[in-house]
Amino acid sequence: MSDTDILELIRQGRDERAFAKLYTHFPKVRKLVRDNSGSSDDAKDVFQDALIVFHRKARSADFALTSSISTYLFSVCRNLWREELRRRNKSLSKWDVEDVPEEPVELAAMLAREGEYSTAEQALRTLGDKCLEVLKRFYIAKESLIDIARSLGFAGEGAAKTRKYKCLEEARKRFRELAKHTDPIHHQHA
Amino acid sequence: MRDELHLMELVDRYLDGGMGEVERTAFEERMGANAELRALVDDQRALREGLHRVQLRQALASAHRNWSITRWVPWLVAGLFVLVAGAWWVRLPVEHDARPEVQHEGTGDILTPPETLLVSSDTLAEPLDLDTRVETMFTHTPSKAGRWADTSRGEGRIVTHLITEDGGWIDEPAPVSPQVEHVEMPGSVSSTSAEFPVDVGLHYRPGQEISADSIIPSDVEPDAEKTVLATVERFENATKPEFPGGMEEMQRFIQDNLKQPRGTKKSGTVTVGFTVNKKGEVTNIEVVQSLGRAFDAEAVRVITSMPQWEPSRSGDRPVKSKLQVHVRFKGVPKKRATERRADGPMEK
Repeated sequence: MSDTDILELIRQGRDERAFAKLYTHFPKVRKLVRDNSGSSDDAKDVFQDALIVFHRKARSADFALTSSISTYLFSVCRNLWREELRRRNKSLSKWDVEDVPEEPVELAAMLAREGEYSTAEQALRTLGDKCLEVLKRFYIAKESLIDIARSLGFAGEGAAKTRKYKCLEEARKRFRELAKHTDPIHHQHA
Repeated sequence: MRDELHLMELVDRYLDGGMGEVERTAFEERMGANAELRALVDDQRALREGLHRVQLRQALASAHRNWSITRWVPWLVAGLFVLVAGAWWVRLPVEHDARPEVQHEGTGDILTPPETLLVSSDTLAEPLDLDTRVETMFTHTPSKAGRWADTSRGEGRIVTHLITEDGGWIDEPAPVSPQVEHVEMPGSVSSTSAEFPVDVGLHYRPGQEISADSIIPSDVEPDAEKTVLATVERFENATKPEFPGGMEEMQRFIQDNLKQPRGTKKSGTVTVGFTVNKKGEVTNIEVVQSLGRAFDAEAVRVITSMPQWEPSRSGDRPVKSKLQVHVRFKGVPKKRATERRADGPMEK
């Protein structure tokens, strides 16, 4: 399956299939991380974060692939892992020299933002299931408030709206709280 | 709260790109002058992306699981077996009850693998054309499947990677063979009780036969310490193919003839697949799971040197059947190598 096909899958919202395809690039990343004082779990985390970054890029309308997906993912992973090692006061010792692609200029800024999004994710995870469901339906599935009210058993559109508002407010509060305490290097704003 | 609600909606509209030129410019000016509003927009943007992350976790976890599941549960391998068609298209009923068991060495526990994974050959009614879009339509029960849509002008093999989900649904079939652009399998081939990625090899020949020639779990690393495996493909109501003297005899044969390759120390298992043809000859020997070239060669050598089998029979007609054998190398003993042995297929 070509890179273009994978992009197309993501645009069609077939994430699971796309990720399954993209996972063929995992072993290389796993090797990088494990060769540089990381575990398989570290590798998994790094790789999945990279997939998320890629997913976001692929979703954006103006995204054009300038290098191969493999190169892109590997580059993002290397940066993420270097950042993580810095946090752990270690350095990346081995480099996969043959395949060091040019670093996209915006990558550093993007990864910093990603740290912020990751904090947001953690904050959202502390919300109740129902809240998370409301927000996901509204912001990701783009369901209407009426539909949300119907499927989640709220009295009506107004109730759903209020609920969504409160949930988002609560999420924001927790996000702010969490952001205060997170590692300033990892999560600084770009 | 009314105002705040309104403000939030405004931010939503801004982030959704739902504002017109004029409104957006005005809003951005307002943001420029109002740090609080700017922070609200930033936070809301972060939360949206956070939501996406939450949402994607599921798909990511599943992708990771599929990637690594076969490492975790090598004994699932034993749940797979396949029926192979004869030379011409024959409508084959599917055999349900020949579930191989996996023995857990040491404790003697018997693990029952999930429902046997089946692809019957009646999934493949007609030859197919590689030049055009290929569609397979499996129906929702394993025993009654659909057919290939197109007709073929050539002979070949297609390998399709797919994930079987709980209840036997096929998820995301994707052809591995380079020529094929697209294979749809909206139906079902399995009734496994867990998600399980497999590669299905399909052999086709114009106007003649088309058959599922292999179903193998993807990237499986069988656990040499735990698995004993028999993958059997044959007609329903057909007898088992038989090694002269029976399966135990075969195990002994392998055990007696298998040598640790020179210069190697490790233990492990090579899975070898082969066909017992109508004459009882062992043919189509292939390494299903490699342990390295020296080990593979030795395993194939021993399988090749097996005597003629008694072929499987359907009624009084001999039919070909397919088996997989785990050939286990003991390794160079450190302490307790005596317990280990080469294992052959295990059948009830």
